[in-house]
Amino acid sequence: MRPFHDAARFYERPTGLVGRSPLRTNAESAVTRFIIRRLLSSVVVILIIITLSLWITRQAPSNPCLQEREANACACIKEHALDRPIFPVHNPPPLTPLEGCQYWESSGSLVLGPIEVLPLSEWSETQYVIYVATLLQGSLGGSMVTDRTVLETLGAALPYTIQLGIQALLIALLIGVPAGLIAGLRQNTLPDYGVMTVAMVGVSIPNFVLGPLLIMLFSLKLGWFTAVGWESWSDSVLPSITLGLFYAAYIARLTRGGMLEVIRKDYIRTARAKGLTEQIVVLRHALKGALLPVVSYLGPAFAALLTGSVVVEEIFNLPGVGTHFVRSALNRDYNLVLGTIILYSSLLVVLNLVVDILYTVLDPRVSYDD
Amino acid sequence: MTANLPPTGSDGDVRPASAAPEPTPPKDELVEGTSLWKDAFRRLKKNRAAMGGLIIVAIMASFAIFYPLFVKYGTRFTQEEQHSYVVPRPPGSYSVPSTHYGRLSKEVWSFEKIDANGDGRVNADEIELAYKTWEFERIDRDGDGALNYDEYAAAPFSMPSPTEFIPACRQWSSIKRNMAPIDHPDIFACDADEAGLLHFEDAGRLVDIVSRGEARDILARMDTEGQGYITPEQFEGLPRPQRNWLGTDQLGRDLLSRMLFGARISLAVGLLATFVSFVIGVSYGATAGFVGGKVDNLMMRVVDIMYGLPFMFLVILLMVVFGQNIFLLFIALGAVQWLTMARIVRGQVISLKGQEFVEAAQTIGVSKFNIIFRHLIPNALGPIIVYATLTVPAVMLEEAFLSFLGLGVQAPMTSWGALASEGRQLMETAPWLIIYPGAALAITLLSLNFVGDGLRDALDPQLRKD
Repeated sequence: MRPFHDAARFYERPTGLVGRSPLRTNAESAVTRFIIRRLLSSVVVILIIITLSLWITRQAPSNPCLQEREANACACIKEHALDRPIFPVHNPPPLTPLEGCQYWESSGSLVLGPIEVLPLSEWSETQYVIYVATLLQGSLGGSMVTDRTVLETLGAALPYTIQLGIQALLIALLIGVPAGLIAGLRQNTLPDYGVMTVAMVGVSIPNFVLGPLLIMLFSLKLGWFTAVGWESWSDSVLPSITLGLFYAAYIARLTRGGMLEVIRKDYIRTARAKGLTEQIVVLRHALKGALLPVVSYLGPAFAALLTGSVVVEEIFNLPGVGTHFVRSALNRDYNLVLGTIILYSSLLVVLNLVVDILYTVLDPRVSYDD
Repeated sequence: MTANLPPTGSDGDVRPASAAPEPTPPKDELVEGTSLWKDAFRRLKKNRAAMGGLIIVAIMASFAIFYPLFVKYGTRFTQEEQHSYVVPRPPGSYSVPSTHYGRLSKEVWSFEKIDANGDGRVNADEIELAYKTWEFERIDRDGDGALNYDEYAAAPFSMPSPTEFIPACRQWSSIKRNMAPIDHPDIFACDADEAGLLHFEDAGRLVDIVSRGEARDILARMDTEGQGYITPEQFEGLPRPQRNWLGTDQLGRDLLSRMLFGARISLAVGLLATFVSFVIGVSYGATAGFVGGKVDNLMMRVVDIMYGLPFMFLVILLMVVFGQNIFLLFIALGAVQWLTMARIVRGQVISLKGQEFVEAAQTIGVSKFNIIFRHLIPNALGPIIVYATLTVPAVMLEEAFLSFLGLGVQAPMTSWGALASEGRQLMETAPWLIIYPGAALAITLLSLNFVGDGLRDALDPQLRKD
């Protein structure tokens, strides 16, 4: 006689659907359609971002050219096309032309004047079209303050930010998921209360408070790590912990919630009834369902990790993208600002897409059709 | 005749008709049912963490609201008054408030005692010296006229005094060095004499609690004729030094007062930005959910797209480009947060709008606007309130984040985030400058999170995960 759980496994995988049934082909084309649609909407998102940030930067009361002497300022303004209209459909900001060149100085607040549509022949002259054309050539333009191009600057900075992000995410998952599982499985016991209290505290400590505290403790007092800078791998430990601990706490809460929801489901009861060990029930059956909220959180988490890395890079003085973003924004290096924002949004869009696809691997019930 | 008519007489002392004593209503036989809100409140009261959080939030809010009172009668320092020190002073140190001061009694601090050279006039130098003596006597606990190492170590000096202020330092010797603890070989070395004692003459700026400028200000308050000194007749008593309970920053501003003021900004940003997100999110979500169909589809697609935008970067850009305008900050932070609110409200409205009470309202001709705002939203209030409560800490965190980058509120205003940002730069010499504001922020966020969780459990027990 077959062991009981083998029989159960037999029922779990109905052989009838294996192979290329019409149902399956449908699902696959739905996935393809979904990905194509998401890519299209990603392009829209990035276009919106470019438009908004270009508008904000060009409406600014100051620009990098004004730091130069007057004759140079004119050349600078001409070089970066700042004397042209911003959009094909634009509202002319209140202007004060600089001597000798048509410099557009706005009043410093977002003004919506009467909207004027440029004639079609002048569209290619606008800053927006010029910028998008530069992007389509695969360039992000040159920095307006330094001699390097935006791509070079960001290319040098990106590895730090990515390494920081990945390490922080690993910390978050490696601490958060097991802690959440323990809390969920031992609900209303001491470990549960302990984990949940620590997690609540972790969610409430801002990373710019945690970072300096960690520096004070581990760098200044114990001398285990260097306080700032990034020379070797060990320098990335404190920043990653600072960035990752918040998400570890949040993921622990999510995992616990997911586990509590799943563990009462009928299919878990079935799995237990057919005599599977608790370990298999938890790891093979319950975990998948319990992780769904975590996976759907990963999208927003990526966005927050990128934002958080701005602060962490600032605290630890790391040469990452976030540091460039803040400095370039303060220096009015608008091309670098735009490049950073485009880089961030593209990263975000791609990561969100990956998360959505990952979600279907875990939960095949998700439908891609509207 | 009714009492509503105007009195006809000149001094019309007309009694209103309702002045007659009303009969007490008969006791209602019906047992009053518990409403959803009463029920929720009962559940909330049982949740100790949430109630504790609520109390802490209430305390923080009262600090914020009654900041002028706390400053006047509690800390005695306003958040912007400076007492120029070279270094931040640690918790427990003293300085002399310049606005809300009390006076030391004239008996103890008599004119004759302050008048060091005995010429019958007190000038700024003598006032400065008087405060120095006061500080030295306070630190000198055993009253032997000199500081030994224990007294030195217990006194709230933020760092070893700079050597150039101490004449006796030139006679520095290895004996004195050996007296100091191994990890701080220089802390006591320069200041003490051969016997390891620090005398008043050598203490120098170590016991300064007023600067020369402040001493002149104090003098000028009594010196009404501008003669540069005061006579015994003009003397009103010197302002009493007050304790800086949480220390000062390097400009000598009292940290506790600044934190009380910071509570104002932090909580105000949290509440106002949440209100902005509440208004946008609820209107948007309710409209989408109620109208439904293509409009709903379009509106929600817009929300989906906006979810993909890295909003914080746009906010940062906005703050950099248009200066740190606090109203822009409210709007920008609120505009970031409304998306989830819109989704929640839309879901609630869709599940409610098919119910009979909406149909009933439609039947009697209630306008669509009123159906949404008078019938649907009040019924969806539970999840809305829970989410709004959880939005407050999120927004406060974002404000602190922006202030930390130097893009949030600007001087002379301050917030907890801005204070932590200032504190980070002096982390090594003055850890209290980041620890206290950071702790205030973390405790408030923790409390708000507990309240939010508790409200969720109370209002929607089905959502409860345990």
